[in-house]
Amino acid sequence: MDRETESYWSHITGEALLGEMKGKHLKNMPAVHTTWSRWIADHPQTRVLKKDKTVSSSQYENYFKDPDKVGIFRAEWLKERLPAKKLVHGLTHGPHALAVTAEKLEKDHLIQTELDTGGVIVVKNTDGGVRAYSTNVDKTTLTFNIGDSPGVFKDAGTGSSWDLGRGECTGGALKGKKLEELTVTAAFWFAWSGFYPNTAVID
Amino acid sequence: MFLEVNMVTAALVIVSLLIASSNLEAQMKKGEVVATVEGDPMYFVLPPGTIPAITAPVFVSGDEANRQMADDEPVLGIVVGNEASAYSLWQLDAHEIVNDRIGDVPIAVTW
Repeated sequence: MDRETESYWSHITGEALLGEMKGKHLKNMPAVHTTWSRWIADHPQTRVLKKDKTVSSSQYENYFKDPDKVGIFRAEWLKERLPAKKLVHGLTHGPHALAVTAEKLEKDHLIQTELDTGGVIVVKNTDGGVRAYSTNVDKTTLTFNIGDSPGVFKDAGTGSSWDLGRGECTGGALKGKKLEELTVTAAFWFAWSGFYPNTAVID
Repeated sequence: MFLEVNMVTAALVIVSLLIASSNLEAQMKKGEVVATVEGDPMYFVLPPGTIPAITAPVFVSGDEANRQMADDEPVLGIVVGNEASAYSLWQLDAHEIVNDRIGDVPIAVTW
């Protein structure tokens, strides 16, 4: 809820649902979940939110671990395609929604697919964060492979090197080109499929 | 972020942890319907302000943070332009929203 108008907003879609601001959208900004040690290693100049002195653990550890604890109220989810508490990385591209299971991404490191709105790639980076990008550059859909060193990817067409932590081509014919970053959200399956019942799944 | 979103049959239930004050909601009980959103009920969970959002965030450097963070402590990280900013998820458990600004971009960090 915003204090200025007391409108209600969805923190997944960024849309105002009720109140004076209904229909307005907040711009979704890509962010990642990772561990402290991996974040500081990749971002040594980071600023960090100061913690309250007493904070030293998660308040939700039991909730995360328990497959039968599904939401605050007793929940029934629409799609039994995956177990309710399966962790997925979800993104939207135009009218489409796509969920990639955390396990699949962990196993393959790089997930690429083509929707009718264009190609998308989901990767886990050296800072431990999951990022997604549109793979369309200058009206061509690029295909990526894992490169020779950690954090380096190559496109199949030109063999150029890409840093997919920043979505930038760092060497080769396409040097300087940037991929459009998409917001990807870590969510439990029951929640993602609740918002996006027609989501595609890669698992 | 992980959601606390519930499905009740075909209805989408949006559970909203409220941060602004509203007299009606101060008297409500858990599970009561606050409002209807496009035909779906929105259920009351907690009185507004119970989980206090951070409105004046204070930041420390990475070096200073190293003294208070565990290696495997989960964080939410964002890069805006050249500025990287991290928020401990254990800290966010108790606040859920940080009203912040990176450069000249106002953002709401939500968990």
